[in-house]
Amino acid sequence: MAARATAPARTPVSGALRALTGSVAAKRIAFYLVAGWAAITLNFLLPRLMPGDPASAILLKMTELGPVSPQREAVVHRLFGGANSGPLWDQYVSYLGGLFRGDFGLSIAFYPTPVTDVVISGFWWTVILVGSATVIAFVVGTVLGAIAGWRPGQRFDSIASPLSIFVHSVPYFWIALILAFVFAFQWGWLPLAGGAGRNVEPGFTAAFIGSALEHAVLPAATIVLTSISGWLIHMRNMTASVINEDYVLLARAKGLPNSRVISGYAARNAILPSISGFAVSIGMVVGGSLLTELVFNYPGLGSLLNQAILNLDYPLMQGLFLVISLTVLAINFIADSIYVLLDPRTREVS
Amino acid sequence: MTNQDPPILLDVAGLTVEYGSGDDAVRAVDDVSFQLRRGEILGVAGESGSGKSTLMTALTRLQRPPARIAGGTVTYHPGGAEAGIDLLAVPPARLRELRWDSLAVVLQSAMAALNPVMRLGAQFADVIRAHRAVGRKDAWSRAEELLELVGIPANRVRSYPHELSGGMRQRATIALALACEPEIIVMDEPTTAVDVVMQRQIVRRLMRLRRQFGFAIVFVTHDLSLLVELADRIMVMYAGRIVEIGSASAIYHDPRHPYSQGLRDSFPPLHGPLRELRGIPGSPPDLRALPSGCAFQPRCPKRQPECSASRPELPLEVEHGAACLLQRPADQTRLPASKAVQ
Repeated sequence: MAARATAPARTPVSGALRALTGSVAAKRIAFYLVAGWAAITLNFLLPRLMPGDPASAILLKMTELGPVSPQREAVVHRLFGGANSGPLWDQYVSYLGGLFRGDFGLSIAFYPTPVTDVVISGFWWTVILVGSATVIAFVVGTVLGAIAGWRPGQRFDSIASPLSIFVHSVPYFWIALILAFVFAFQWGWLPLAGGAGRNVEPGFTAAFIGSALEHAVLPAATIVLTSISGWLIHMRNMTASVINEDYVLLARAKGLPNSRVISGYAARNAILPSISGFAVSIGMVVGGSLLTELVFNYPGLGSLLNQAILNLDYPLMQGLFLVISLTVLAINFIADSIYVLLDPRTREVS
Repeated sequence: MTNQDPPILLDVAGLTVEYGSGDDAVRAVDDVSFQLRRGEILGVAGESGSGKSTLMTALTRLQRPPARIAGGTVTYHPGGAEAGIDLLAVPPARLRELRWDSLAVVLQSAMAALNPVMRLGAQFADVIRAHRAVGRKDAWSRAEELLELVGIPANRVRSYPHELSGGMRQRATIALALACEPEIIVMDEPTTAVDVVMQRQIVRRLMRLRRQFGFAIVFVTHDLSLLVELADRIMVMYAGRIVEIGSASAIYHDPRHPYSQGLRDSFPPLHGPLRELRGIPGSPPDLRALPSGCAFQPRCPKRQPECSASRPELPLEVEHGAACLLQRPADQTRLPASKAVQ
């Protein structure tokens, strides 16, 4: 009764506006399209705003590496502007055209491989390694956190939580170095560096996949070990506060099995903030785990970014930044949509 | 006990609940004994901190650490049978079976008591299916019936709690308590969070449902005037102990403990000429440092020198009795006196 009285009066104008802007989903899609456009445009503008003339610097480097054909010169001007490359608007149009063809020019560091090929080669290494490590860390950390938070102060909690805080405060590249030193260098159980054995032909063969898995163990362990504790502490604290909610008390009063009280009531509500955090870290996966990839000389996007910076490889950097920002947007879009399914309170009440 | 009395469903004896342990332990419920008969509404009245909510959770063994049950028994007699089950001693699996099936709970804040991420129907269905061998579909249609029983349209079964008004949510939690047709429903201030008009509606509906299903209610509230209308018998708690127990009309017309008198005089009379309202001076005692003797003695307008010397006990087996030194044994109404029938 009270709710009806406080409901805002709908005027015809606001109703029409509502019809125009459409549903929540349409609004969200529109937001992400605008954000994607902004990312692409910034990527176009930044090299042109840089002091000096990056295009000339790139061309100078390319001539050092080999002869530069007029087409290649045109591509550099299209991507980075430069002294004799026409009005900005025309540059923008041809830049967008190049994007849709997947043409980002040639990499300097891997001259003359196209940037697209370089990025794709690193993309899968990183997505599979960092992606699966992130998922494993999230799942394991969240489950352990829920167990610790269900009985705060009891035995499991009093071991797991301080240990997590300790591990969390150790720099992750240091753990990577320790793991590499002990397991690869001292004991030689696992390979020290690389994505797969040098003499294994890449492809869907048992030999290659086995070799790749063997090489992934240490970098993945580094990422899992260092990020698991964050999820654990977060979930533990959320669960410990949610179990004091009346709906958890009522779930116990209902005589439901403990597993159901945890999964349907306590952890189900406690996990909501973790889901947002998980979306952010999944989005960060494409950025690579820079230091881990460096320590293990892993051929992922993190290593590529490092090489691009060391070699002043602007085309590669531009390509990497674009891929990273668009992937973060795409993942966040997916996560936003899933979150709405998980928490009905974020849906628009009809 | 006379033969006309309905059989005893719940027999609480010497129930003691402490927070913490050892020397630091605080007794929130101290040696509480009472009986609940079939179909009866037993009101529990008291100020904040009197231990009434702790008592409610202990009855259903739902207390959370650091609260722990330090002693006593809560014997449940299914259907009023002679053989009883001590709820405080049964193994957890058996307790889970009894919960909601025999003994349901309605909590104070309906917003907090419903799971915000589950549809209303799902919150009915999971408890129905935990106790009855029914399919998902049947459980949901049972949820619709239950909602209609408390005046909520059946199509609301697919709503989430945040989509309902406060009064609807509170009625939904009452409907939820009826899901397995329990014999006992423990209600902890179920009408505190809603306005007086809604409170009236809920109470009236509750009375109708009780006539229909015949369950007994333990109704915990600080609102003595509400209890006088609703309850058959009233138990007044102070500092974790029962200070007076008796029929609702006896507590209202003839309160014997000075604290009950103070509670009664602090709200306007239901009928007849207005009398001067008086509050109870002072505030509830600190349970960590209870006054010597009677816990109410520092606030009591009728204090005697001997009140701080010894603690008066509530006489057992009485129809209407008070734990007060001013009550001579002859004053306590003994059983089997004529039971005040509502």
